[in-house]
Amino acid sequence: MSEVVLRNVTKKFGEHVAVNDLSLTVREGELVTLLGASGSGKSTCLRMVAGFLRPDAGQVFIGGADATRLPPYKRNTGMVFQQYALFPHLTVAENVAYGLKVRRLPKQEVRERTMEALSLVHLEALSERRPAQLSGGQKQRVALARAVVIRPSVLLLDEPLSALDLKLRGELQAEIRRVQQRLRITTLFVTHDQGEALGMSDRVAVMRDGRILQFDMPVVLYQRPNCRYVADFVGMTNFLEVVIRDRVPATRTNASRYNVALLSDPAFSWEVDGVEEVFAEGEKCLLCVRPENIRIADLDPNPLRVVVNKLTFTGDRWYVECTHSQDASVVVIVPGSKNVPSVGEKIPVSWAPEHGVLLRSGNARSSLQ
Amino acid sequence: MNEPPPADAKLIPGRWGYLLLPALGVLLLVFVLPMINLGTKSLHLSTGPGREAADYTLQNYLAFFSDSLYWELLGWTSALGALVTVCTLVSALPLSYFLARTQSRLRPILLLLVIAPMLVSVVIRNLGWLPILGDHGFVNWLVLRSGAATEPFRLINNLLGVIIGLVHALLPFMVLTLTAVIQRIAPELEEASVSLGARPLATFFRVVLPLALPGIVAGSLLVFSLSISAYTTPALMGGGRIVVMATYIQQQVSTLLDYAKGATVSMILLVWVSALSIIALRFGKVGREA
Repeated sequence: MSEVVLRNVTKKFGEHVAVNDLSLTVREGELVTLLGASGSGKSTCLRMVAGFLRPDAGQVFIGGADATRLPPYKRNTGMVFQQYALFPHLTVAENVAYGLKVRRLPKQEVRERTMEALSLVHLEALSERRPAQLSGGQKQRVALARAVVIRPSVLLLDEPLSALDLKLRGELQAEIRRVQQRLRITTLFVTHDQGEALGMSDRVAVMRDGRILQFDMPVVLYQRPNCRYVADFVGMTNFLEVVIRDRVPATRTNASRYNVALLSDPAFSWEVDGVEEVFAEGEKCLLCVRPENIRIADLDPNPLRVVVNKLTFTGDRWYVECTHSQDASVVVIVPGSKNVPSVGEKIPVSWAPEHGVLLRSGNARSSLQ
Repeated sequence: MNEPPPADAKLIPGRWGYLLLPALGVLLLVFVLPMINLGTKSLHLSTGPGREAADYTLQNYLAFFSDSLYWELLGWTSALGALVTVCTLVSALPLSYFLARTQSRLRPILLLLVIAPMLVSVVIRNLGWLPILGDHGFVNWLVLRSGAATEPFRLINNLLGVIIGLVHALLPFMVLTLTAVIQRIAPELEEASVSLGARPLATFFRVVLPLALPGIVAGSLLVFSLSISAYTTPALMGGGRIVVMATYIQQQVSTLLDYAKGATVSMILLVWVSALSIIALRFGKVGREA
């Protein structure tokens, strides 16, 4: 049992509310990511689980036990820091053995478990080096080994990849995920990088202003964002201001299908499927469509007529930026190997009803589990 | 490489070097020349109060090193220095740690308070201890009034007084050195240690102390050299009963007018202190690079 639960946790720094009545459950063996911009309160949450900060209200449970008032050295957490935080005066092996020595385990066991942890991250050969002699990626793997060797109840990762360059970041991301799944450690990961969050996590909590906006599996988060902020923060997206025309018979029983029209030009209208919220006729809202779901084609009976005004090529894809009017523009992603229209050309664009997501415009809806 | 030169390079005199000349001139006049004069005096034998022989000799130095009395003086002065250093280190460590880690807005004021003893004349500072440590001083008033003892404690005009005075005077040097070193130790290292299960005290001994070691060595050597060469504090706080090398020199020169002997002991103290200072600077540099 090493589930982590934050229950109605609040943390203030002076007048500033860093974490606001937040609840979150990380199930045993699960990797949950707190995703948010800086100042969203994600690191504060992590530090409250580590015990470096004490919440002003609410409770922290680790493995079913109330850890709210437990000092960090009694929580049995393994933490990996952005700037590695390896002990510069100790060798790689001594760094990894640190938590075991502090626990006064027999020498033989310390040695065995240290080498086991080092082999887990493929660094046995460097065990006698000093941290200063290692590359950034190696340092962070030592830090990971040092954190997991104590068999922590929970592994805490505080932006562990941010100090690394792009290529290493991908490698280490895979490495962390592999180690985490192999040891089945309950893990809380903090990042501002949505790519890392989607690629590594079982579930992601998107945070803003000390609250969780949406907490779900990466696929759901991406395909069915529950507010404009999440849709915008996770991946790239197009927003069109629309008005609800009417409700039409749905294909799924627990969702509805709406007919919506472009606010600035009601001649264009689409059906949106799989809507779980209820909208009133005439209500203004946002239609959100991912750029890779938009096709340059006349398939739809009523495609949006747009003018191409910019093309960007990034190797694997084209970004085709198009405008319909001042209030309505879309970006379309086209595979890099395909032909694209030229700038200034008039083209029709369309998407399937299930690819649209309807969001209430304006204030973000606060989320549930 | 297009990297800017390290900050230290700017301190190396280039075309602005001549700006140092006035200061160097003054130092030459008031420091180097008297020092050479003193050094020369140690090479003549004394022939009576205020007089010395004309021929050069190393006799004074041979006499110093062959007489156990002088070895005792050197050893005793160094032992006192070591004791003062240990006391200073132990009192400075917690304070420096606090000053290095505090986020308080009062930090500059606290630092100023640490430096304050250096801003007061050494004589005034030592006299200030009298109403506190004397037989009728504040501490003994408290002790007698509270009934903890019937006789006042002798806190001044003895070895204890000298140690209190020196620790007080030298604490700022140690605190400033240690604070600078501890500030360079990333707080995450301590967080990492604590999260791995080490209590704060264990973290201090396993992480902070080893990483602060260069500063501890540098600060200790600095305090040690300053305390073995101190004159005023041992003279005033020791009540004339504590003889160290500096007070011995004063006695030889001012009272007995034996310039040769005073000069010899001075030169030996000078060499001993210079050697330690050079080592201290070395360690200080290592600490800065780490």
